[in-house]
Amino acid sequence: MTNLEENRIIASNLSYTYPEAERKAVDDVSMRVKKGEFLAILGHNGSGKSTLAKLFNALYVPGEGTVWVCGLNTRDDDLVFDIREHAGMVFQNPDNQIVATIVEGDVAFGLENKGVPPEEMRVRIDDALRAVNMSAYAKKAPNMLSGGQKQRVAIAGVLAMKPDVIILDESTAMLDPSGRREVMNTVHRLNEEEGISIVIITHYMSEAATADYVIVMDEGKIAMSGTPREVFTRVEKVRALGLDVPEMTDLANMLRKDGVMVRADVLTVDEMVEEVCRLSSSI
Amino acid sequence: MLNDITLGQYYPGDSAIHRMDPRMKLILTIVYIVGVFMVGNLPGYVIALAFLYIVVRISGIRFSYLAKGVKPLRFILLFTFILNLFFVQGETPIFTIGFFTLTREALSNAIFFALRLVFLVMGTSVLTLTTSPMELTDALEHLMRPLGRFHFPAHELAMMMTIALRFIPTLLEETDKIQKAQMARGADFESGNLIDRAKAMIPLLVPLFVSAFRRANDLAMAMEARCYRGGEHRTRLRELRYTRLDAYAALATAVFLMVTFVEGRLLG
Repeated sequence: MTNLEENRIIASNLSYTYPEAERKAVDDVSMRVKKGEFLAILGHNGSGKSTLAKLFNALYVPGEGTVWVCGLNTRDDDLVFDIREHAGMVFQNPDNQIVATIVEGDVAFGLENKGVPPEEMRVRIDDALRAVNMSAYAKKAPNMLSGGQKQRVAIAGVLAMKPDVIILDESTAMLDPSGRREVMNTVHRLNEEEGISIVIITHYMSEAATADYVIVMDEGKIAMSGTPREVFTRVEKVRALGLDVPEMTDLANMLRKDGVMVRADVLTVDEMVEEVCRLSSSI
Repeated sequence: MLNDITLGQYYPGDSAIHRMDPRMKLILTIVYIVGVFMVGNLPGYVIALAFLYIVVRISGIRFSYLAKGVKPLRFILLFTFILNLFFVQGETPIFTIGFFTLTREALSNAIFFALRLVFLVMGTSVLTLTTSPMELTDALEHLMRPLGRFHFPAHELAMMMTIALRFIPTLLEETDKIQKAQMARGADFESGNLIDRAKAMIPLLVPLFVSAFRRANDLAMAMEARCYRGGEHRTRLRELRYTRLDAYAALATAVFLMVTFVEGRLLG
């Protein structure tokens, strides 16, 4: 449980109530984010998933329970800025999180706050922009970019801080499909190549399907958890929580009801194609 | 209508004037204005004009561009000109119509005052045309920093300016969007008298304000998440550095100031 080498974020018996709210937004949640893990947190609106994300980088302080980020307790006021360096956050609205009037100036923002010397800043900014494929836009004004590009700039801003975890709080919700793909490809690459743990808060099933582990939130509690296959094959339960299952899982489910015995845990189109080919060759 | 937004009036370029440290440009512009106000006779104005001409030539800005900046001031210029003409008491009359006597002194005073205003506007235009708003913000922050000792919020002011610059295009876009949405629902922004039109702005301004506050809230959280904690211990990506170029410019301006001063003493 407290093995810090393995766990980037540990939450134990975490509860949080908004001021003047009656119900707990997060209610007795215990979970962890492992090193190099790609974790998806699902849930319908008001399920507490965004609140949980904000507890992970000390934007909110837990009402009860504790959060450790890389071994640092978020209750400790002196550690707040260290914690935010370890766990970077990308928000929903691409327009409302870019501070500077030039792309590279915005990537610099976190580093400037930290007091990094300009020479080192230069190197880190260039690396970060390269990692998200935005080097060509370094001198552009943010309002000239597309939504997906703005979110990649926001990711670069977090990346420049050399974080251990990146939390994306519905960062694809306001993007068009191509922008969404850009952002997802970027975070997957960072996860695989740099070994950065990723936590995505989302209500897109297709995004959750590519994660290592899925947590479904409902009424502030963890309703389901497991690998995407384990979670999504329980179609009825997922539906009852107000969520969709990935299209292909849904299709597999319907086929099975009609007696076509494809595997129940199909998540992607490729897997479905494979299954259908397997079936047709066995006939 | 909102596509061609130019912030300030920056005229991109890579001239020696563009490359100067914005702090030095700001200081020297103020020095130049002081110089222009010390000038009191024709040769002095010729020197001031020559100095401005050289600076503009180096900067590569077209004079027509510079003249555009003076155009909105034409009524003020005319007003001060006429005012001076009527109210300055002189001794050498040129001609008299009825009770009004035009004197030599009044005429020269009127012309010089108008010229001063033109030089003032042109001088500051050279500054804003060759310096991007970001550089100006940086320069102001640096120059105001000593005032921090008296609890003057230099960093906060500069941060506010940066954020304002960043959000002007975003909010303009949003205004455009809301306006179109309201027009699609039958809102009329064009007809009626002034009061009607002002009233028609309410359904435009209310959603704009609501959204601006929401944006401010989001941005505050994003800044916090990125370790923002005010101006202390903060480093900057773009360090301002005085170069040899700035020394030359300072020298040139000092010479200008001295020449006008000496000239004023000798001839004035």
